[in-house]
Amino acid sequence: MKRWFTFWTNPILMKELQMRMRTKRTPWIIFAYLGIMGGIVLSVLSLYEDNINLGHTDSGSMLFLLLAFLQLLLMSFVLPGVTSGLISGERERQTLDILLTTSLSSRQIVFSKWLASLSFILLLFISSFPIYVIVFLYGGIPTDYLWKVILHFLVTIIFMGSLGMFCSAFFKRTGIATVVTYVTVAVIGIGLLILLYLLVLFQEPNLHKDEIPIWIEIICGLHPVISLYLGLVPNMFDLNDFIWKIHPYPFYLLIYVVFSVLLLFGATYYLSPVRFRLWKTAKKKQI
Amino acid sequence: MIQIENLCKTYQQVPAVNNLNLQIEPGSVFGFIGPNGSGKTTTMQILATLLKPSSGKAWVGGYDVQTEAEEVRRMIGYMPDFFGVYDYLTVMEYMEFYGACYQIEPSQSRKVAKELLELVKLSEKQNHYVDELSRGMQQRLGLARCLIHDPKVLILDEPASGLDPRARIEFREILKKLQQMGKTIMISSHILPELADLCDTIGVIEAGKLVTSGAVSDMLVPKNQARTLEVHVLEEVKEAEELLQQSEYVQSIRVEKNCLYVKFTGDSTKQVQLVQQLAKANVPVLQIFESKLNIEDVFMKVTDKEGNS
Repeated sequence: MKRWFTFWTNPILMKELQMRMRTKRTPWIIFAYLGIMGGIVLSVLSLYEDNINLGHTDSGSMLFLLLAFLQLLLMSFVLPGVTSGLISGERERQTLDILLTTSLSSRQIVFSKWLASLSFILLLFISSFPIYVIVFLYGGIPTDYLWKVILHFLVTIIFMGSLGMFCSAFFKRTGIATVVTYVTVAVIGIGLLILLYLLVLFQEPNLHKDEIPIWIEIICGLHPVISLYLGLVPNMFDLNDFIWKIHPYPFYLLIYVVFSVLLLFGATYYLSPVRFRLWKTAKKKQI
Repeated sequence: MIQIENLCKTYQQVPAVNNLNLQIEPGSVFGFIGPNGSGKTTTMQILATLLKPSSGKAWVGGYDVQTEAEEVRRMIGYMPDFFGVYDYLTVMEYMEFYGACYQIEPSQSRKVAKELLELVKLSEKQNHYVDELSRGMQQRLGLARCLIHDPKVLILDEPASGLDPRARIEFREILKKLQQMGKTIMISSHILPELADLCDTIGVIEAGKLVTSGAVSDMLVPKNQARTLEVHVLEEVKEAEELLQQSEYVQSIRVEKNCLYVKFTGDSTKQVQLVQQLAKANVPVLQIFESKLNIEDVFMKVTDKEGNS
């Protein structure tokens, strides 16, 4: 119980939340995030007013998917910016050395900062719920859709947060850490799509109707939008007749959780002043 | 309290610290002197568990800085040469944050923070944001932050750099109080006269090597060496010089206007005899005193010798 309490009263977590909520930037980020999301959803609703009807299940599902993808896209923009300066920012502000000489371990510092950034993203996610309520008005959204989206978002947030943390610990400068984080996110979001397109284009004659090559499955499983889409709507591209060796949705969840753990471990490694001190050997010397 | 044995640190085969051996006694104030890039900060960072030495060992309070870093961190208060503060945190919140980092109970942390802010004369600023404080105030706050967990050892790297004379004097007074409280202080500074005033022992480091170390008093008045007497006369300089040269205890004399700088090997009794001889010969002596080295002279002398060798 005490450990649980200590965990939640972790000084870095508390300080990060306190500082974040005091900056002028925070309300502007929330405003812009909700403004863009709400604006796009309301624009779609007004543009396709004639085709989207209350109680029409397909309309509801379509809007829900649109909202989910929009959220993924916006998070890809916000998360790297929020996380990539967490450690390098401390380094640039010249507060890191002081922090490293306290009783906090590198693992605690990395984990607390990571958790603080995720808390902020969760705040954005939760604050977007009213927009989801608008979409739910149209009906046709199964409960498992909602849980699948939430789970997918959580894993995506965890991964992107870990990626930002790793880059922040690895690179000395926040600018470089931010650029590398954005580039990596872009490679996952756009690069994988291009790669998939090119591979399908060049390999098309060799593709058999009832069998999906493993590399397609892996790329689909690594891509956030495709994996989510296939998790929600399995008959995408008429692939429902195919037998998946690896289903993209659970593959995505699993692989990005593993990546996240590795990245957090790497961030801790690069933050530690004396790396890989796994055991103690020396005894206290009498002075 | 601090012991360093054959400590080496190299950066891409360039030695920053080269076979350093040092011992600092509990309760003493040790001044670490050296030119820029001599290895002071590297040594201090190793002691603060921020750097891994290439070879050699170091202990703080009997704990190995490499293998018992956690215990070492509990024993030390470290203040780097440059440090920043967090935005949007008040002075009290800043102190409480570091208190929490050392796992001090919030109520206890607040109590200690108040006492420390009193010590560094920042009580009135406890509700101000730290980034709004002046540089001198931030340095004092940094020192208070170092003390939040009541460390036995303070490692202060250039704590007075960038401070105006008043802030430096205030800072020095606080350090004197800490010295009286029995803290072991290791301090590096470029303002050498201040170190002489504050420190019991000093160590001069150059190119990663400890050139000399010892008690400040011994450094300023070297034992078994000729003392320099300054003899100021109103006139008859020539006669005074001839008279002084007759003494077997006078090694050499250098004359500048009406002042004679005499290298004298005799003790106080012989010095009195010398004065009497001058008086007997009616040399109008204005004053005689022993000229002492200051810490800057010691530093220049030691580093010059090292440079020439």
